[in-house]
Amino acid sequence: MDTNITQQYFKQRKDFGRQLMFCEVAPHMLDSINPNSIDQKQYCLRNPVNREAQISTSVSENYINTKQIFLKATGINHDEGGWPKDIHYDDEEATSRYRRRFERDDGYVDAIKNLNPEFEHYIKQNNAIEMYNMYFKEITSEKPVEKFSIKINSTYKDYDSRPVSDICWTYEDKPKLAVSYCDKAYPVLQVRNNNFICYVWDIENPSEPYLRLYPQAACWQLVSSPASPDMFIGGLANGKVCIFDIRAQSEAVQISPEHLAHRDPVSSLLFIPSRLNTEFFSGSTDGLCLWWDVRNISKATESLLMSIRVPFGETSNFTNSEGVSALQYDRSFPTKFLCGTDTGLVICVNRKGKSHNEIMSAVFNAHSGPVKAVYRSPCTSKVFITCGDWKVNVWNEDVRSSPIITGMPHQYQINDVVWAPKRYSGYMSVSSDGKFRYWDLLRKYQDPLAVMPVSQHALLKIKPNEDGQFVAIGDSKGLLNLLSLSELLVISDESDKQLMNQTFDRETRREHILETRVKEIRVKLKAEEEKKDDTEVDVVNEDTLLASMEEEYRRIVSDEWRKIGTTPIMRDVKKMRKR
Amino acid sequence: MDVKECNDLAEENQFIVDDVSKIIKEAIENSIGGTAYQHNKVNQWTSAVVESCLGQLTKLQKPYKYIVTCTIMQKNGAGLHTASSCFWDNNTDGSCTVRWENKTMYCIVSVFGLGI
Repeated sequence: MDTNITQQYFKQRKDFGRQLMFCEVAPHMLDSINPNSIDQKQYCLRNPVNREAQISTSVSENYINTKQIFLKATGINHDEGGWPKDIHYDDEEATSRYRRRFERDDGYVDAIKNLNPEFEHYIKQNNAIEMYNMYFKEITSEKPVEKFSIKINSTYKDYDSRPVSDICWTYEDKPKLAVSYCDKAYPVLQVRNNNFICYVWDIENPSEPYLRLYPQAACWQLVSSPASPDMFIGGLANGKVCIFDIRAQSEAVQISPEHLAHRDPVSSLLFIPSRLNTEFFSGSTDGLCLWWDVRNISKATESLLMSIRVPFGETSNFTNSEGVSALQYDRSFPTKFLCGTDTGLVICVNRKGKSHNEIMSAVFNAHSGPVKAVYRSPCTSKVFITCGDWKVNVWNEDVRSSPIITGMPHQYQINDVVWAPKRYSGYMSVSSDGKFRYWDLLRKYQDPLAVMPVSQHALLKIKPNEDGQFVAIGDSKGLLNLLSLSELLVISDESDKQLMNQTFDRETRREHILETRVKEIRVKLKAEEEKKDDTEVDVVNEDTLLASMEEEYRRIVSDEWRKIGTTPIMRDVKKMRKR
Repeated sequence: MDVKECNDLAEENQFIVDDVSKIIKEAIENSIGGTAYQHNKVNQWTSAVVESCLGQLTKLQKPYKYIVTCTIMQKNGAGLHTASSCFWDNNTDGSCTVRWENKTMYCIVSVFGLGI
C-alpha cells in the first residue's frame, strides 16, 4: 500500500472540541447480488484436486566464471645462447677459449659447488620419473601423402612483346635472370627483329629490368659466366659471338670477327666448366661447332663440322653437315658432348677421337623435327632426355636404336624440356599450348604429375635455377614467368635415386634385348634373300599381268551388279533415294 | 454562531456523493477495466482500486477521513448481500457504494467519508 498520500487541512481553534452530533444511521444495504443458476452451471466441483507441495530449500541459479586466461600454443626454438656478441657459438675454438677464461675465474669453483646438489637433485628426479614415452609403437608408419604446389611468383614483361629466345640464371648468391628476346623465324621479305635489347632482371623487381644489354644483332643465345656474374656471352643472329661485361659498358666488350664465326645464327651456346672457366663453345644451324676462349674471341680455338652422312669419298663440309640446334656438355664426360641437330638426330661427339667416325661416336635418330633440347640426367650421366616435335624421349647412350623411354605424343609441340636439377626422377616440359608440365617417371608414367597453364601464348624456354626451386619460363610474347615449386618437387626421396637407376637399367636392358632380336631377324632375312637370289628369276611380263588384272576386276564388278539387281544405273539411283 | 455554522456547512464540509461515485467508477475502470477474473491477480486488483480511489479522494482536499472497501467476486452464480450501519453526524458525513460488473466478475466499492 502506498503511504505517500498526504493531506493538509486547516482547522480553526474555535472549532476544536466541538460537540459531536452523533446520530444513528439504520443499516442499509449496500449491495445485493442474487445467485445466478446459469452462471452456476458453468462451474463444476473439481474433485480430486491436484496440488503440488514441495518442502525443499529454495535455490537459485547463478552463473559465474573465473577470470579468463588466454592460452596460446607456440613452439620454442631452443638455441644456444648467452654467448657474447663477438663469439660465434659454432666456432669451437672461440667457445672453448671463452670457457677456459671463465674457469680460471675465482668464483667459478664456488658457484659450481653451490649449484651441484640442486642439479643432482633434478637429474635424479628426472631419472626417477618416466618422462618420455613412445606412443603408437605398434602402428606402422604410413607413407606420407605427397602434396605439392606450383605457384607463379611473378611475371616479367617485355615492352615490345618479343618472343623469348634464351634465359639464363647468373651464378651468384642472389641470382638474376638474363633474358634475350628475338624472333627465330627466318626473315622472309622483311626483317623480323628491330629491337635487340636484352634484359637482366632482378627477381624481386618485375616492373623494371635491372640492366639492359645492347648487342649488335638479335641475340639468339645468352649464357652467364660461372666465374664472374658480370660477364655474359651472347650468340647473335648473324653468327657472331660476343662478350658483355656489365661492369664496363652495356654494349658488347668483345665481338668475334664475321669471317671466323658462324654463317648462320648461333643456335646453341654453352660454357665449359673447368678450373679457369674460360672456355665456351657454340653451335649453329650451319653445322659448325666452334670452341672459343673467353680471353680472346677473335679466333675460335677449335672447330668441328657435324657431318654424319658423308657420302663415300668426300670429306665433310658444310653441304653435308647437319645444323646444330642444341648442345649439351656434362662435367662427368669432359671430352664428350651431346649435340642435337636440326634434322632430328642426336650425336654423341667424342672430341678426342682420331678419325672422323670416332669423333661422331654415336648417332641417335631422335625426332622427326629439330631437336629442341638435350640434357643429361643428374641421376645417371649416361641417360639423357631430348625433346622435339611432339614428344619427349629418354635415351641411354649405349642403346642406339630407340629411346629407352618413349614419351607420349602430345597435341602441341614441346618446345623445351629440362631435368629437375635435384630431383632424380622429375623433369619439366613446356609446350606450345602455354602449359607447364611436371613429370615424374617414378610416380606417374603416362601423365604429368602436374599441369599448370602458365600463359596463353606458346611457351618457348624453361630454365630452372641451380637448386630447382625457381623455374623461369619464357613465352612467345615476351612474358617471362617465374614459378616456384613446392619442396616436394624440388628434392627427391632417399630411395628415388636407386629406383630411378633401376628403372633406367630395366628400360635399357629391354631395349638391348629388342635391339639384338631385331638384328637377329634382319640377319636371318638377309640370309634368306641371298638364298632366293640364287634361284631363277621370273621374268615378269608387265603387259600380261595388267590384262589379267583388268579382267579379274571386271569379273568381280559384274558379279556384284548381278547380285544387286538388273540394270545398274537406274536402279542404283532409286536405291540411293530410298536410303 | 449560526452564521458561522452556516458557513461551516459550506460545500467543503459536505460529503458529495456524485463526485465520489464518479471517482470510484474511474478508479475501477482504470484498474480492472477489460480483464477477466483471475484468482492470482485479485489481490493486486483490490489494492489498485482502493489506492487509486483514496488518492483521488485526498486530492479533493477536504477535511475528511475516508474508508474505502473493495470486494471482487467471481461470477459463478453465488449470491452476495452486503449491508452497513453507521453512527455519525449526518450533516457532515456520508457514504457511497458503486457496483461494477463485467462478464466474469463483480466489483463492489464502498467509500465512507467522515468529517473532521
